[in-house]
Amino acid sequence: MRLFVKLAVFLGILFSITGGFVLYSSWPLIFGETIVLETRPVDPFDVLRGQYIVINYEISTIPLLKNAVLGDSVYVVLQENENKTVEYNSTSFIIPSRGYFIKGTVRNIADDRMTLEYGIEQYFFERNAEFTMQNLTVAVKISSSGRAKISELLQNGKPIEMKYKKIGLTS
Amino acid sequence: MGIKDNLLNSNKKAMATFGTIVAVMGSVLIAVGIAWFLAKNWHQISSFLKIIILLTFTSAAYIAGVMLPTKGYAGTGKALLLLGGLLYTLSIFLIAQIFFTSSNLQGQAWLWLIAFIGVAISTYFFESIPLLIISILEFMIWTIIQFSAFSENFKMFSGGMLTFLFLVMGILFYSLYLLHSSKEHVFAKIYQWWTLFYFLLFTFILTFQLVLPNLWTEKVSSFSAPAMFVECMAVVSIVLLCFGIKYNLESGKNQRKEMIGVLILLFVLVVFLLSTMSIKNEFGFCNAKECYSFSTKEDCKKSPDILHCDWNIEITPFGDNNGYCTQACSYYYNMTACENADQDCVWLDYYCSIKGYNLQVQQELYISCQKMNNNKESCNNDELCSWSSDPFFFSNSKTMPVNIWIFWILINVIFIGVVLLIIGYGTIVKSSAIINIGIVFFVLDIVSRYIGFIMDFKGYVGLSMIFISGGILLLGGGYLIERWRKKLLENVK
Repeated sequence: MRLFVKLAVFLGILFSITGGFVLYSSWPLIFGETIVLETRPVDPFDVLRGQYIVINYEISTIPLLKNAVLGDSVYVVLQENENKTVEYNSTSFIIPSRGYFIKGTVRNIADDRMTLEYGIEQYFFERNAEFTMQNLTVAVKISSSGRAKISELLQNGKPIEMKYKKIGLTS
Repeated sequence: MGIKDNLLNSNKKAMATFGTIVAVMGSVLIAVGIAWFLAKNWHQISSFLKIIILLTFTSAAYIAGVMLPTKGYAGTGKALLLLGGLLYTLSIFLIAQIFFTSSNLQGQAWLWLIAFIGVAISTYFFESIPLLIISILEFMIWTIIQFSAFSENFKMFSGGMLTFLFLVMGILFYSLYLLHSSKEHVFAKIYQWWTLFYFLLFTFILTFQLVLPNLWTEKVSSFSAPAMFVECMAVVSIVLLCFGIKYNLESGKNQRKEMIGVLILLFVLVVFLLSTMSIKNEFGFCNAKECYSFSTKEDCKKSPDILHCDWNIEITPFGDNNGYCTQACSYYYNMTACENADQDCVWLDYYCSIKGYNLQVQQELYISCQKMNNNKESCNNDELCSWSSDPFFFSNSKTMPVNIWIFWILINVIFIGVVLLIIGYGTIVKSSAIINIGIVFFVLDIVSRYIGFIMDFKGYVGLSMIFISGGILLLGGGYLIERWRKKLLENVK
């Protein structure tokens, strides 16, 4: 009986950790608002997570915020343009009171520009799936704290269509 | 009990161990297979279903791993617990894949930390040694990735700090060994083994000539993120070490001598690591000075006559610049200006030069300075040469500075000392695992030095002689090591 209790307690902890991780990761997807970002993608592979594209955004490199140093968290205020995507408007160290904004971390500073990381720079997909990288945009959900998650990859404004190779023992 | 019963018992034990090994291999294979399924990332299965499938398999593995030993299948149970730990780790990476979490080093570090925490909890819940090994491996991966992430984010990498981190990990494992040993816990032996492994690995890394002068090439502030990470780990390790020593003394275990020995060894290793700061930037080029090497007007005027330097203020469309040091006359770009100059200039087909300047002298100067490559002190003492550090400018031992040789010989002596200490300790505590790890590192050292010498003293005759003599040495050494190992193991038995 004691063994069963021990096992149940452990499985409870295990599900709490994985459940917590799932909830934390999906929070912006459940409660966030959608924006669409312009991209500049490249294409690597992760041993444990498979094929993905690294996505650089138009808002990845923006004008340097005064007194910003490496590792700082900054909020980028965004505005919608005529293409129905969003673009850089301004930056601040404090959380903006209204409008679209996204939280980023300063990763590089060169002259009067800074490179930010938003945690949405990778999109995982099935190995050997094929698609062109032209006119890619990304639909992103942003929580009220500015934390972002990718919700969809778009091509010409529509959900991307991937071509999949037939699965065989050698695939 | 008769001889027959003894034989039967030992056969049963051997079969049980063999069965466990086979089952563990099966678990690892299943986990690797599932990892590749995950990497394939099939779009046909929904994300939710993928998580449910993997968590179901994980739970099933844990449940079976706990239940099977009660039915008399302890080995298979152990293997399934191991599989549970591996599947849990893969679940974390699956969730990360589904939610596109960051793929940078900090993102990876978070994943390994979450994976480690889960596996570590299960390790202590079920007192499973295979799970402990997985936890230790995941902890090791996490520390290295976290350190690298801090280094990358703050653009500051120090090999010395990383090496120090290995030593700190050794202290942490020794503390855990003491704590578990005082409670006579089954994990004590595993922590002891990892302590020895870390100390040996730490010392072995330092035995390479290329490593020593490159440990502290970058300036490291003790308040930088990578340094603070190592410092925090060091504080945790030292606090645990104090508790470990306290509980061990209270438990009445007679390990006082062993603890004193480890503390002395730690002191020697820390002092050695810190003293390698004195040989930083010892590798580099010794270049002949040119007029451009002098950045101020004063230095330019004091430059050696052989260089014929002159401070030139160039008039540009935007006004005068601040000037620069260059060879006299070289700033006249046409024959008329060159020949009408106040100085003693002469036009040489396509450029203007000062009379008396000898190109051959300059070339000889280059050659004489280059002879002082990797010799910072001599180069700096020569007023015609200038030193520029380059951690990767390392051709071979022949050009290595004397002080690096001294450090290198010292650390090799320390390394052999540590190996002998560990083998001796293994003999005293009658542990074949400890003796074997000592011997493995001893053989590694012989092979590394052998390859190192071949790389340094190239050439057909020398190479063949070294191969033959090295081969004889290795053959004889192998025979002697085998005989020595057999003798030690016999003593243990």
